[in-house]
Amino acid sequence: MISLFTASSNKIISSLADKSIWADRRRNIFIITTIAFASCLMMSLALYVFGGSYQTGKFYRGRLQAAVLYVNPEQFAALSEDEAIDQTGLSLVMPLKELRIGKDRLSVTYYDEAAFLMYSHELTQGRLPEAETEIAIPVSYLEKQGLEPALGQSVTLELGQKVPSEYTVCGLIKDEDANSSYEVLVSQTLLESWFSGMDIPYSALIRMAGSEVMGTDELKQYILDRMEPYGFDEADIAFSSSYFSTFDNASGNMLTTVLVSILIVIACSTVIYSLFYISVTGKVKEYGRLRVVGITQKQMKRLVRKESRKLSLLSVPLGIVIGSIIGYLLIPGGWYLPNTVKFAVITALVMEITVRLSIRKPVRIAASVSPVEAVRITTTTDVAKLGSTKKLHRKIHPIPLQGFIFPATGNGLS
Amino acid sequence: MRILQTKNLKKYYGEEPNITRAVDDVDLSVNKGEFVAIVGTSGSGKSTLLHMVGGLDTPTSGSVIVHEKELSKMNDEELTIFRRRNIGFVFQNYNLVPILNVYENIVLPVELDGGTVDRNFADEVIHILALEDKLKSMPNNLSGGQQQRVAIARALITKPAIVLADEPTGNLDSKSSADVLGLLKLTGGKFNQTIVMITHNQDIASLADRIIRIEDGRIMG
Amino acid sequence: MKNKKYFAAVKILLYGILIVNLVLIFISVNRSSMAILIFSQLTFILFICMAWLLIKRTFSDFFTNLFVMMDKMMNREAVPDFNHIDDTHISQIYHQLNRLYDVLQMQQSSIESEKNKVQSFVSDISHQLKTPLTNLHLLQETLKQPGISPEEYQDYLEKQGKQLDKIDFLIRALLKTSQLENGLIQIRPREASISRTILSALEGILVPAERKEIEVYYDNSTDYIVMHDPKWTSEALFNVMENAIKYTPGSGKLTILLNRTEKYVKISIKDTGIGIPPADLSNIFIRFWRGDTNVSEGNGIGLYLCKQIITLQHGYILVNSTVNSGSKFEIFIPL
Repeated sequence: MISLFTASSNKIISSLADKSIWADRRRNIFIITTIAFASCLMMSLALYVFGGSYQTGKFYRGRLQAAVLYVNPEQFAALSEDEAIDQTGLSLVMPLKELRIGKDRLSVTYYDEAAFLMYSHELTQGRLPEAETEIAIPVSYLEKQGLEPALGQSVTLELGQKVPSEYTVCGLIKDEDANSSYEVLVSQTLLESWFSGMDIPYSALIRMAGSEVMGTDELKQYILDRMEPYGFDEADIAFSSSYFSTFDNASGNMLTTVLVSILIVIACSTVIYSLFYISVTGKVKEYGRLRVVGITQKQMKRLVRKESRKLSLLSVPLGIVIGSIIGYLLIPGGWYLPNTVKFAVITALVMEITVRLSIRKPVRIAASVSPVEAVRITTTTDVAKLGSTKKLHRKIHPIPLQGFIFPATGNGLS
Repeated sequence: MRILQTKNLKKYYGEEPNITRAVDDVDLSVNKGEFVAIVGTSGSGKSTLLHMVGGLDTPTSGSVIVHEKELSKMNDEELTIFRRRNIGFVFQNYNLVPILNVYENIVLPVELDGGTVDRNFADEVIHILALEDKLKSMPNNLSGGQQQRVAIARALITKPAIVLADEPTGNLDSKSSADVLGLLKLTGGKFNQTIVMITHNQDIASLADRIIRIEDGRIMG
Repeated sequence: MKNKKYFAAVKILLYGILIVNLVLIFISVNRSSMAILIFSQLTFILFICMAWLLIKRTFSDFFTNLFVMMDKMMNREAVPDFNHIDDTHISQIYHQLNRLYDVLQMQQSSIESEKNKVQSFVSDISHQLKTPLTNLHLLQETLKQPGISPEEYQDYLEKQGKQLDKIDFLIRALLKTSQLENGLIQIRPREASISRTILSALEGILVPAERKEIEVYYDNSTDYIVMHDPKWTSEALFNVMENAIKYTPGSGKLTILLNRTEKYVKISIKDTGIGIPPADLSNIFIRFWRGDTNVSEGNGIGLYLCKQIITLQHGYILVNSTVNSGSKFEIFIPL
């Protein structure tokens, strides 16, 4: 409660900090640059690493995790009802037919609405096939064949005797034309004609509910466990390799980012420490003067800390903004605002803590300056030999890195 | 009323047999409102004495009592706060803060205390010391005499119990010296300030109400 | 100091209560428990109450202390010191109050000391007056006697004259001092030639100087217009010069110099007299101080008066002296 009554000297301390920063501008540009640079690095690194995985993650979000092979319609219905399964889609165990037309390969297969989405497919126009002669076909295939990529377009496909050979395009699938293999989708009606009488080899594509938090092995086991009651064992279940491999990368990302960030932090803190150290030891006479006039040790510490805070207040946001821009430029597709904000906050916190820790020793040095320094007549330069004041006879124990870069600091000068 | 008293004040450096007795058993007493000059040759211990009286340096033994408060019993924070409220300093090398302008330098002790500046008093002091049109200047742009006048203003602003002046005209030419001495005397009298001035110069010492001689760390006579 | 520990402990307690309160709120929100929510509010109220009491106690301690201090001050008793020197407003107030008390005490004691001074001076004068008056009476009686030769008559008359002079001198000194005390000395500064003032002071000592064959030198080629009271300043300068002549043996030298610095005129009065021992350099300006020389004229008020006059004009005096060699008085008057 005593602090309720403290006579606040914040204004003068803040004013002294401002003027001191301005007076030392040259040195402070270095400090600002260092902090901004470090923040920028951390930010762009995080965005790059996580942006990449976010991009793929976005791609795989709705993706299937496993396919249950050879389900019959009743089992499929049961699976659809299962609460533990988030999404169920109907597809075929393998394509109906593989056609070779010139250099291109056409796989003729079936997806229902859900399965279509689970494979991260998109229709640019139209809908999935319902009638026997309707197909959905990738845009780039039509273009390649010299056919107009529009609904109602006629396509010839030799699929066998039981079914017609002329089809009408009712849906255009979006694709990037990465390779020469394409998927053509047919309707369920066609399947029934094609398989006439035999069991249609459906597969159920599943995605488990609440699986975001599970690890890969855990998830696999979970799927096996849930499928067992239906009579499906391991042989009947095909895990999506792409899904699980992406998943595995996530924790790897985190580790990389953290490790590199630690390196950045160490480098940054070394530089900040030495810059502030030099600044403080050069100002011993200054500080001595202030001590004579009556600044307490507490106020002295506040002064130096405030200086550093004002500097980082300027440089950290700067670095973060630049880092965000760089991150965006590197992976535009991986841009995700909540992620960016999260990283900005984390970077800001980490930098703030780093700077605060880095200046601890310089702050202590500043505070322990004795008022006698102001009246001491120095014969060489204005940097008084700190070792001559009783209180400061301690060796500092720098991190090995610092000791290597600044060997002079190990000589008993504090 | 005794505003300053030292008892058996000693400051020794080093060890036997190479011991340096900078201040050797000094008993001193100053009453409120007195202008006292401490005269001694270079190395006589007068500066060391002044530093101990002002709480800038700790004695080897003995006590310094300012305004009935014993300085050696205070910790660093108490001593600093006590000093800024009760002791004003004028140094040979002015010791102004270079990053603050004249006005900010003058009111610095009050601001550090978190107190309110007595504007009328400040204006009066500034007027007497003829600093009105220099208030926004930076110390680096002032002459030695002007800087010393700022230092005097700063020393007076908290209406301290005692003003300690260490060779206030040491770095000044004779013309500025005359000004500064006159102002020191004038302000001392006007504000009923106790002043303890150190000098090696006999003439300057005669300005004071009382002269104390120090030689080899001891008071003469 | 005990207080600090007490406050620290209580602070921890209060923060503890606050944290408990927050935890309870959190739990109550999670478990949707009304009871816990109410309980958390109760702890918060407890926190407020304790904080209130603590603040109240701090304030009441402070107020009581101030009250006690002021009482003691009014009664002129010893004032207790409650100030823990720290950076709080409380400490500042204690400090200000003590300082205020100092100022009042100072004014009081200076009034008393002045009164004492006057009293002692008056008794001094009256003591001094006794002797010449007694002598006058004696001489009077003697003169009344018949059978005195004309030479003896003249002799006695002369002696009477001397005693009258003494009385005259003493009365005038008394007058001057009382004028000083009561602020009846009106320094009326005006722009005037300082050289003129110096010359008018010189006039007064030319005769005594000649009598002692002391050479007086003054270069009046430079002059300055200075804001000063010519009459009183001349008197001040005269006092110094008179002293110089008094304390300089025959065939000595008195040199007057006029200079200026940036803000002052400097009048130097140098003599080749017996000098002033270093220990007495500031004593000479003390009222009634006579030193231990054999010269018994004067009443120790000349230099005191001089200092008063110069100080009232915002000037000051520096003295330099070597025993048996001479003294130099430098009088600074602001331009």
